[in-house]
Amino acid sequence: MTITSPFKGLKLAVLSAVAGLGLTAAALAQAPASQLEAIQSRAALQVCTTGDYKPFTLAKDGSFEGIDIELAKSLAKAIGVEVRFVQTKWANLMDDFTSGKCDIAMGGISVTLDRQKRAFFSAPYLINGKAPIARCADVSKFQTVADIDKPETRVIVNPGGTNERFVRANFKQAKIEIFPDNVTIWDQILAGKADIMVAESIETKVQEKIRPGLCAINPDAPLQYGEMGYLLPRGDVVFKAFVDQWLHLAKATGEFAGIYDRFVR
Amino acid sequence: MKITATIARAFSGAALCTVLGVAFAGGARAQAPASQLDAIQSAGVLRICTTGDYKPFTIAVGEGYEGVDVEMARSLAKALGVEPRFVRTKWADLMPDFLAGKCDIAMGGIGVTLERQKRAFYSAPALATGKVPLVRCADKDKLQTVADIDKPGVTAIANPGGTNERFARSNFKQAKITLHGDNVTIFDEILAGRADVFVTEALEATVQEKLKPGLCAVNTDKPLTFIEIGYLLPRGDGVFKAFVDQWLHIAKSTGEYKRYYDQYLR
Repeated sequence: MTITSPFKGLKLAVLSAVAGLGLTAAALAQAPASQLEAIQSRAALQVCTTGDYKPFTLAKDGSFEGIDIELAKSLAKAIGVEVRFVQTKWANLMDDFTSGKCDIAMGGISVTLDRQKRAFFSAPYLINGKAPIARCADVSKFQTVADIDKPETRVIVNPGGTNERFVRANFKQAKIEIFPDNVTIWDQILAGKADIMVAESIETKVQEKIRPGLCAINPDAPLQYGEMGYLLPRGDVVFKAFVDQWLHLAKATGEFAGIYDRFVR
Repeated sequence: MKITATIARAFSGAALCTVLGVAFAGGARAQAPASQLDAIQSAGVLRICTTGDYKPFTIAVGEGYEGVDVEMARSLAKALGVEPRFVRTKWADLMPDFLAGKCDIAMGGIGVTLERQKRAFYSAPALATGKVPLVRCADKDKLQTVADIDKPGVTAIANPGGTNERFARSNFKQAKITLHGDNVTIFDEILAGRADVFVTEALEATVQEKLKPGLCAVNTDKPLTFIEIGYLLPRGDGVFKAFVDQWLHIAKSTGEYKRYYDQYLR
């Protein structure tokens, strides 16, 4: 008796431990904690955005505008909460996001595998990539990288970003000129001081519209493939499922195209 | 009895701590689940189980490996910023080796099956394929479907013991079935007119079409059977799967995957 009793007690203790474990695990498996609930509890969607990337996110007079700003408002509405923008810089984006300053990051963010190590991405909402822009008379002669990469071609590029990286990696014969002003760089081509610039395809579409005489070259079949998505908390499949579903519906209903056209066409 | 109660209480206490500890760990995991993605980066190495015996996906050459999925494994390791380390396995040992934790991912022409899905995750499919007829080019139009082939007077050849023989046996009732044990000379049997058709994997048929003028692979884009090739991942690890799927999606979108495919198939 004195021997069996303690074992009975032990068994009970172990059993309750096992039962407890089973229950905890089952409850977690069914309902993992998700940012989707946290957002609804605080009644606000916090959106990290840089505010410096036309036509996606542009800070203006204390507020923001752009394609992804409109879409952030649409997402907040779909969740039934207010939208709250948190301004960040490209260099701080991942640190701000992973330290929990926002629930989602939006605004022309390229899908990269380095970012994918620390976060999830929504389904891509835009296929993007590098496209050339030139004087409209030159469109037919600058169709491919090989067309452009000739000794007589003058390529102009803004320093320090992915545009310069693309130009350095792909053009060995063409003359490369660095021009630091992002606003007036396009006029250099119109003025005949340079022949061509390679930029994000969507940016070339915008510039084509505001600067008659410049033509984007095959912006829908870019020289280098890229896509954009929204940054989401790593491992939170519940929130990702919601965002992907919302994005799918925004595309299927034409809401996305309506917003896109307002800023790009 | 007094001792008993004390021991029992002590154990209950311990058990409670365990339950709380687990619950707490569980809560933390929901926000930041432990993933093989982090373990691989900490180790600085991506371990890849591969059989090294399945052209054009994984071929052991001396001490090293080549093939479409071997190139893809190197690409994945590079995306992770780590070294690839190949771990040799056999088809029969694939699941036990993978489940024992000998590797982080298994790659090399692995067909997607629901049997394996019970014990592992798969990446998004890398490739859809299936069995197609390989025939003399003159017969290309008349031997397109199972019904076309399954007629008296048609001789179907198959290598014994694998899924090719199984397919022939279960689909051809009228046609004559010949078995040929040599995987290298089996194709010449068709060229020599001793057989009319060999139903085999579309990729293999494509390779042989190149190697043996006079032979044509029929409808390689519409195989008679359906099989997907995917990469085997740890079950339940959504974070690692998201990374691998994103990498694969980009490799396909940029044309990187097609480059490896063409390198080994064209």
